[in-house]
Order: sequence, then structure tokens, then C-alpha cells
Amino acid sequence: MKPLLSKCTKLKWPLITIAVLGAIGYGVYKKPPFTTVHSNELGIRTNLLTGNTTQFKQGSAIVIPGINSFKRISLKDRVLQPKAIASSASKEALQSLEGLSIGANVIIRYNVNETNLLNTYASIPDNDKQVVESAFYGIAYKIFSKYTVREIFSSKRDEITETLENSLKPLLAHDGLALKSIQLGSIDLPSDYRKGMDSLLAEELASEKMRYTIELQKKKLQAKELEAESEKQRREIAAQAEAKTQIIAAQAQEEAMKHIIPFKQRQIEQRKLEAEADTAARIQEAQGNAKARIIEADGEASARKKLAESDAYRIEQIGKANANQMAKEGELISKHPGLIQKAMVDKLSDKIQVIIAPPSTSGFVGDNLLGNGSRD
Amino acid sequence: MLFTSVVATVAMNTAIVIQDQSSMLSAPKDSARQQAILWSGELVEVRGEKQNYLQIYDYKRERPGYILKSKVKTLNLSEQEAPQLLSALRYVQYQDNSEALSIGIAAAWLQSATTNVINGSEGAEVFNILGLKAQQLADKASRDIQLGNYAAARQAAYFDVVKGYGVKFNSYEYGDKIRVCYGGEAFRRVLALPATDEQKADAAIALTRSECSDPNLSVTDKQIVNQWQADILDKVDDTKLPAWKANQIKLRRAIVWSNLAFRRTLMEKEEAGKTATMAAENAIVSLAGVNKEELIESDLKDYNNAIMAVNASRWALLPKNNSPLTKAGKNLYVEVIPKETGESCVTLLDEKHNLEKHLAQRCTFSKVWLSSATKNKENTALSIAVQPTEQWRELWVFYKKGDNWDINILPPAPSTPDIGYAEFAGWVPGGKKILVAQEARSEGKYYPARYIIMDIGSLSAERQHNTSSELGAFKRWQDPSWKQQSVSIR
Repeated sequence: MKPLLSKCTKLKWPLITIAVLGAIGYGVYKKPPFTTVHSNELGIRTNLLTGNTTQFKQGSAIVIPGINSFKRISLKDRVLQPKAIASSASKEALQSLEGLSIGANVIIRYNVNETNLLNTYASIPDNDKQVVESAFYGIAYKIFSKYTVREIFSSKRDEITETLENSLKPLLAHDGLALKSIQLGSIDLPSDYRKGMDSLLAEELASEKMRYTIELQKKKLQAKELEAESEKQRREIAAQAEAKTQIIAAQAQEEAMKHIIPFKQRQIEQRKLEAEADTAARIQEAQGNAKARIIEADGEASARKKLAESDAYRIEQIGKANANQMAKEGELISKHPGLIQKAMVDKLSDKIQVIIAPPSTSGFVGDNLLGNGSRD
Repeated sequence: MLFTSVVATVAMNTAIVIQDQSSMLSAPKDSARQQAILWSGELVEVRGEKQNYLQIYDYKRERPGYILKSKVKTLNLSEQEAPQLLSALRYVQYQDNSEALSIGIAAAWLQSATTNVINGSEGAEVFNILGLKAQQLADKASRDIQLGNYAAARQAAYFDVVKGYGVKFNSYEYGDKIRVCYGGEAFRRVLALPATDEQKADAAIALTRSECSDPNLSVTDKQIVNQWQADILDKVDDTKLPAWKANQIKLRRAIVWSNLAFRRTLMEKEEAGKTATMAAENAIVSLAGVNKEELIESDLKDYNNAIMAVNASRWALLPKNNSPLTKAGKNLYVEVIPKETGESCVTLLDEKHNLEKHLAQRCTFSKVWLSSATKNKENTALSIAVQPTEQWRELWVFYKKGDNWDINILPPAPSTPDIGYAEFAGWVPGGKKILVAQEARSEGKYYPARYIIMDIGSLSAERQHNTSSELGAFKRWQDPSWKQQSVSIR
């Protein structure tokens, strides 16, 4: 028995070690000291011994059981729709300024405040929806009760939403949450009131429409006025440009006319000089002609005088010659009286037969021929 | 509208007066009192017949009467009668003093023919005859001759008759003369109808007469009219026309395009500059296309006018409006400085002078052709072309007078600006003389092309001839670019 016991004693410690290692191995196998942080998550590891905290983003983190605690915080947006205030018939329905119960369909979107998370993560409630809802109710009743139904229903929706957001934001920040938006959806009114409200809104809408129509017409009118104005200006500019072009063209023509004037003047002077020269030339010519005529006349006169003198001289000479001739003829006839008849016969034509007859008693040889002889 | 009055006047029994001075009598006998004198072409309503007289009613004078049957031709204005009327019109149009009768027959034809026929080739023929006769009447009235009593009465009566058919005339005052022009509606219709090329050519020529453009139109309107005229002339296919007729179209195109070239250069936009070059090119191409051998004598005036107009605006052909004279060296050069008043100041400069302290300056409202600037070798004179109106181009000569510079301006003729050019043709070495070409038509007088040797200082002619080759100086010293670009030398 002893050897067996001593053998067992010898094997005791290795067995214990194996058992411990096996237990540890089993423990690690069953509950590994690692954890994974997914996307859209943040992990906060706390050392339970020291109280230190470490933040992890997507990836793995060592978490030793008993030494570390690990908390995952989702970064996804969370949405809350408070149901209790959705209907006007609900007991928790909101109250308007007039005291009317109204329901409001509200959508609250919020998230974990990522900044300074290591300090605030501990205050993030696990039941955040309830916390946000109660915080919202806490402000909603107060805020909605300050507005009339009409304001809540239509005209001041934006203002109410903004007030709700501004009021809720610090409350949620206190709990490490960040409000992203509040959306005010449909408003549930008591049915009777709803009808009246609808008609009222319709009227308002109509009047609004009319207002817009009038404004539109005004705008159109203004647009037309502007168009007309611009058209008028365009035309004025075009007219001015045309007028300027016209003026330039006219002035260019006038200028061209001016350039001609010196030439015209020169032409006139030239013509004047030509005319003067022509006059002088004509005068000279006339004077020349007159002188020439005088000279011609003088010449003619002296020529005629000479001619007359020569005529007179010639006549005188002829007379003298004739007288001499007659004297000579007289002498000859005295000597030979028959010569007269002979001369007469010589002057008559050959075709006339002449008979020389003795002189008539009258003494004229032609008396017989002319029939004067028969008168006796 | 044309002939609307005809529609109202003509009735079932109508007659057209075919003889001038036909008497409308109060009774059907020769000795009866004369109610009115009717002229050929007048339409009257026939209401009856008695012996050899027709009983008629004259709507224009609102008077009934009788007229000898032989003085009128009765018409029923039926569709069947249209061919006869057209035949008659074809013969009557060639007779002297047949304007009113032709237009009367044409109006009757328009009343008789169907719409399809009027819109066809026959319609074009009738409108063409109508337009030509109306134009002939207007031309007769515009002639500067003293008419006898009968001729004057007939002319006035014809106008009265054709105006009754809706034919419209315009009167324009040119100086102390009146120009009567046909409105041109018939020609516009010819262009819209399936007319022959010759008919279209007639219409285009008639619609683009420069003497019948309204002298009172604004510059802008003139440009619009010129553009319209250019479009009309471009629609005529001159290749299908007889050579002499094609010449008429080409001459007209040359004038219209040269006017447009000048107008477009005055526009400030750059695009206009390009279109101006195109217009000047069209003008020169049209003029170059004229067949001189086929030019008829009556077109000689148009030929000379076309040459002068094209030559006046020929500088628009050069696309760049820069001076060919550079600033480099001691050379003279000019710059054109625009002023707000619309004037352009031609400034003479050299290397030692700037715009503030220039050699000489002259401002003008005219178009300054900077690309025409040229100077002599001696650097003592510089000439530049300046155009005051669309068809009138002057020559400006800057010249050195002692130490200073002076300017002389030579117009195309010593007469009212109308159509003409005075242009630089060359420098005579020595720096004292310039060669110049001049041609103009103004105040009804034609100053034929002359080639002159001028003294630069006085711009007085020393020698001149109507042929450049007859002057030795022109043979030796004429500028090569002038000889190449000018259309002055025929």
C-alpha cells in the first residue's frame, strides 16, 4: 500500500498543475478574455482594480474577467415616438392655450454624445428611451399650452419645434445624450374643431391664395413695366445711336461741301480772270479792228482819189485823143465824104445786102435804107 | 392695294377707251355738247347703244354721256376674254404713248383671268408690262424738257388714268428738280411669280434704281434698303440672261454692294468689318464680270457710275484697318484717333513726335481709310483716302511747308458731293509733285476720268490727260499698287 501511496504522493502536484491548467484552458475556451467592438459602436473598458477607463473603437479588446468590465455603446441614431400624446382622445393628450385637448405626432431623434464619452458614459441610462420620453413630456405640456390650436396646427409649427428642441437638448445632454432633431408631424384635433378649423384654414388659404395671386399680378405688372422700360431705353439708345449716325453722316457731307468751296472759289476766280482776259482781248481786238478799218478806209479813200485822178487824167487824155482823132477825121471826111457811108456799111452785118447809093437830098446816107427816102 | 379700285369700277358691260381725247357727248350726235374728254385706257360702263354711239357712264367723273363706238372697245371681262386681252397688250405695249392704254388693258386682264392664271407665267408677263409702262410714264414726267400743250395735257391725263387703277408713284426732290418714280409693286409681284429670268432681271433693275431711292431716308434705313436691293439682285441668275442684260444686273450689283461696303464699315462691330470686306469683294467681282463688248450705249452712264462707286469704296476690301506705314525708323506714319463726338482725328507722327505733340492733325466725320496711307520717298508728303459719303472719296495730302506741316484736300470735282473719287496714283521723285486720278458726276454733269500731275503744295494741275498712258510721268512713276487695285483705268 505504501509504495502505491508514495507513488500517488509523487504524482499529486503534476496532476494538480494539469488540472489547474486544464481548468484555466477550459475557462479561456469557454469564456475567452477578448471582446470585439463593431462598427457604429464604442467600447469602454474599466479596470475594476484601479478604476481606469479605456475607449475602443472598431476592433478587439482584452477583457479579463474579474479585472475588467466592458461596456458597448451603440452610436446609431435612436428614434422615439411618444405614443401617449399622439391622439387628442388620449388621457395624456396635450393641452392648447384654449384648453383644448390635442394630439401631436412627434418624432424625436437623438444619439449618444460622443464627445467626452469617457467621463459621461456612466450617466448614460440603459433605458434611454424612457428617460428621453419622460424628459420630453416634462417640457411638451408646458410648451404646447402656450400656443393656440391654430398656431400649433399651422402658423407656429416651426417656432414650437424649435422651442421643443432648445428645451430638450440640455436635459438630454445631462444624461450623455445628444438631441438631433424633433419633428412635429400631424396634429390630431377634436373632430368638431377639426371641421371648423379646416374651413377656416380653407378660407385663409383662399385669402392667402388671393393675396399671392394679387402679388403675382403685381409682379407681372412690374415685370411688364420693367420690360417696357428696358424696351423704351433700348429704343431710346437705338434712336440716339441712329440720330448720332445721321448727324455724323450729315456732318461728313457738310465737310465734303466745305472742301469743295476753295475749289469753287478758285474756279470762280479763274472764270473771272478768264472773263477779264476775254474782255481785254475783245477790246484789243475791237481797237485793232477799228484801227484796221480806219487804215483800210484811208487807204481806200486815197486809192479812190488816185483812181479818180487817174480816171480824170485818162478821160482828159481820151478827150484830147478823141478831139485830135475827130479833127483828123473831120479833115479826112472833108477830103473824102464817102467815107461815112463806108464806115456805116462796115458796122452792119454781113447778112445785110448793102447797096451804095448816092447821098440823099437830106444828106444822110442811111435814109434810103431806113425807108426815110419814101417819105417824099 | 393695286387694282382694288378696278374691281369696284368694272361692271358686266364695260368699255375701255382706245383713243386719246375721245369726246363724251351729251347726245348721240356729233353736234351735241361735249361732256368730257376721255383718254386712252379709261374704263367706262356701257348702259346702252344708239345708232353708232354707246351710252356710257363715267364713274370717275360721275357723269353719263355718249361716245362713238369706234373710240372704245367693249369688254365683258370674262375668263374667255383674257387671252384676247393679253394678245392686245403684247402689241399695244410697243406703241408710243401707250402707257395708260397698256395699263388699262393689263387691269382688264387681271379682272378677267382666273387666280391660277394670274399666279402663273402669264401673270408675271402682265405685271412686268404693267411695271415697265408705269416706269416709262414716270421717266417721261421726270425728263427735263419743256412739253407742248397737248403733250403736257396728255401726260397729266395718263397719270390720272393709271392712278385710278391703283398704280402709285413717288416724287423726290433733288435740288431744284423733281424725280417721279413708280412705286414698284408690279415688279415685286413679278419676283414672286414664276417669271422668266429676263422678266426677273427687268424687275430687279427697276427696283434698284439709285435715282428712285428716297433721299430723305435715314442712314440706317438706307442700309436696310440697300441690303434688300442686294438680295433682290442676287436672286437673278445672270448666266441665263443675254450678255447686255446680264451687264445691267452686274452694274447694279456693283453699285449696291459698294454702298453696302461703305455703310457696313461705319458699323462698330467687328463682324460688320468682315461683312464689309465681303460686300466690297462682291462689288468688285460684279464690276469685273461686266462684258464691255456687249455694253449698250444707254448703259454707259451706269457703267461709269458703277466704276466710280466701286472705286470710292474699294478700300473696304482690305480687312485690316491698319496703316501700312510702320512706326519703325524715321518714317512718317499716321494714326486715327476716334473722338466721342464721332469724329476721327487723322494724326501725322514720326519717331520724334507723339499723340500729344504731333506733326499735324485734322479731324473729320468722314471714314478715314487708314490702309490707304502712303508717303513719298523724301518723307515730305503723305496721302490718305477719306470718304465722306458712300460714293464720294477725297484725297488728303499732308505736306511739309518749311518746318511745319500743312494739309491739302482734293475732292473728286469742284461740285456738290454726289458720286466720284480723287485718288493717289503715285509720287513723282523730288517731293514736289503727286500723280492723281479724278472722276465724278455731280449736279447732272459728268467729269470724265482724268489723270493729273499735281503740285503737292497747291494741288493745282500741271498736266492732265484722259488716258494715263499719254502722260510720261504716269508711265514712269505710277504706284504699282494703285494700278493693281484701282478700277479707274477701264
